[in-house]
Amino acid sequence: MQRVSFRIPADSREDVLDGVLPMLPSGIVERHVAEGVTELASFGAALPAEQALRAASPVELEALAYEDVPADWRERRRRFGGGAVMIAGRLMVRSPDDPPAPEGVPELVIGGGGFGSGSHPTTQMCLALLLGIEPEGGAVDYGCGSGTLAIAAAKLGWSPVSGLDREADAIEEAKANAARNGAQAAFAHADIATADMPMAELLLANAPPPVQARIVSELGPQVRHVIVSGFVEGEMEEVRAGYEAVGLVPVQGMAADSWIAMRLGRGDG
Amino acid sequence: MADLLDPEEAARAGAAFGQLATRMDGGGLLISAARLVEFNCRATILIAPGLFRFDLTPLQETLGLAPRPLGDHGLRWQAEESVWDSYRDQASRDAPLELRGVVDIPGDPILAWVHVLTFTDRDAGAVHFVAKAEIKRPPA
Repeated sequence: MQRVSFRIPADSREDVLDGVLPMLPSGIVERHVAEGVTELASFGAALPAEQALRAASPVELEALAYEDVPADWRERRRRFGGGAVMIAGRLMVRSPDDPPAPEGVPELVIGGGGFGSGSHPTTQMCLALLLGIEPEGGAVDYGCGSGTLAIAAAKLGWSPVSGLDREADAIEEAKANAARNGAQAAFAHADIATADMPMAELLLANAPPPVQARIVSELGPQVRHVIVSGFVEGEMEEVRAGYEAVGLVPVQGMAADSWIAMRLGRGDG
Repeated sequence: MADLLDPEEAARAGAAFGQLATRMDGGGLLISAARLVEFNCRATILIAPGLFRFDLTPLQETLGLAPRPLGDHGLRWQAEESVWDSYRDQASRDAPLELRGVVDIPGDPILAWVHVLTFTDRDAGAVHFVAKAEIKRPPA
């Protein structure tokens, strides 16, 4: 197994991929290496020759190099990474197979495949919004999936923290992830459509509009902040209006790939 | 002017990743491909030269499926709403992703129906996919 890598101007990425991507059946992994410079890498047993890659690219491929690499994906992932995401420059979320975060950068290590493991833009936006508020009590994560948001809240100082999800497998993953990260958080299998709704100062809900509506219908007076995502632009007004009707107004909003995330707070400050 | 529905050209463009191409009964181009793509890799899964390319990026909890226009024609895609977010919905998780597209060539529009079925294999750190596209001119 070999790996090929090269560097290109970041703004020429799509034009380069038009030429080289169909030649690379394993696809490419992209990595930011310097301001305006992107590294593209691929792997395979029979990679195209250097001359063919250069001929297919509209720009010069800098630092083009081939090297032997392990066939096992876990070994390659441990060596080269590719699955970690940095949130607001302050927190790295990675799988157990990715290299550790750089020294001094806090990290969450999230295993399993349940929703919320950090690769989806809604999870990333919720984390970014969570990083923007000071802990002041407990937190509940509705539709917690792998537990990323609840575990992040616990690590940031919210307490007590709990998470609910209708998928039993996700709850097992969330428990394992809490242990992996040394986080104090309780997770329970529950269908949010019908379950009792625990309340806390912070609610996290990366979940579609019906879940948001259920939260609104059960909202308690102790709730100070709600971080929501899991819906698209066309659903935002419905979600926003629901929360505003019970006294929670948007404080901060984010959007990515048509997905929306909002932090809402009490209108009385 | 090149025939945009030429199966030989489509097979040649996708040869490196094993794309098959054939002419459909009644006219039109059928392309298909299947393989395994590791998490976090962006890989081309279908290519229709001069029309469009589809790239798939499997992530730990979701899939990125990105159409890329090839050529100067306008291109509009509409995903089947029922599978917009199927990864979060157990009931529809095994449903295929479907998109319908129109290539706006003046006087000669071309319709495309793209169908992508995926299976996550966490032990392999990858997603298996089977993809096909039916590309044809609208009935007269």
